[in-house]
Amino acid sequence: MERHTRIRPLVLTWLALLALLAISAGTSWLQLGWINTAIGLAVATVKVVLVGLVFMRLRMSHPLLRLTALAGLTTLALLFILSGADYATRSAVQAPWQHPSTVAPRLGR
Amino acid sequence: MSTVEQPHAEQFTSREQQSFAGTFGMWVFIASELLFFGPLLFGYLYLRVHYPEASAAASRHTDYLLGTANTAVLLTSSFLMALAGHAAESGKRPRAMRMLWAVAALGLVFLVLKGWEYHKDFQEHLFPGPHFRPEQDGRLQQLPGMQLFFILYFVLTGLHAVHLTIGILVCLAMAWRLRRPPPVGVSADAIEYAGLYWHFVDVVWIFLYPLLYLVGRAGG
Repeated sequence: MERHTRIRPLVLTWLALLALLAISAGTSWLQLGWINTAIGLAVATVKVVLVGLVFMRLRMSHPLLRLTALAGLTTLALLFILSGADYATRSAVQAPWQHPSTVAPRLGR
Repeated sequence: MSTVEQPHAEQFTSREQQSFAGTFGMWVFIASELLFFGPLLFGYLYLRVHYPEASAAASRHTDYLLGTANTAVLLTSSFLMALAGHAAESGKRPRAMRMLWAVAALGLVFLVLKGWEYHKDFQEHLFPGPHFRPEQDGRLQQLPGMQLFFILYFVLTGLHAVHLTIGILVCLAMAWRLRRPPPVGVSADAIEYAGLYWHFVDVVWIFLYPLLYLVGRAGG
């Protein structure tokens, strides 16, 4: 298999990853509500794509390897959807055991 | 390419096929590893949806500086790992060896910082259980869901640390076995498999960082 990796893309990816880290670390101090989480996850996704494409070489690898990576993500997404459907369609019933601080005996106090 | 031609195992028709089979096997393993972390991440989703305030309050108790520094350490280690793979592939074995030592050293730095952070967490009574007593401005801060955050924090970072420890041991073993040329020593393929594992461990941390350290940092 002919593999042509050069050092330059690796260095650029590393610098990009550190810049992205600075972005997520910096923006977390701005009060943006749910957008903070959105930025954090978006930056993490970009970082993971960079690591996957360049460091893990998915950019120039055989399609079967990309499919395998995708199959893992798809399975995880399916399991999230199926489990999430359960939690999303039931209302949480506040039972006493959910608040140990309100139930005797009070442990560790 | 200047790579040394190596004989292949008898079940393969060529060296290329053997090398590809190994990479494919590693990717299947990584996909299953992703599902290993999956349930914990789903637990985290449940926490964030059901206890948004508690997760923000709990996350503010984590150490922002140590978490950020550790992320930079891991990203750099991944970069060095990619360089090690590059060097091994082009037949520069001593260089690959040095890179692997550096990767293992950075992994160790991560574990030391993480251990120090755990120590601080214990001192601040953030470990879930009867002694869980997070304080804010000298007053007890008890929101339902905060303990769940710290259960997930300790299990997720703990599981990640276990993976990283395995990764460090693999790096050390590879660096040691790189001293001699193949087939006695380790082949460039093996360095690539080790690299894939290391990058996966990095990928897990890349997601853990915003989920555990950056929630509700700005107050709210």
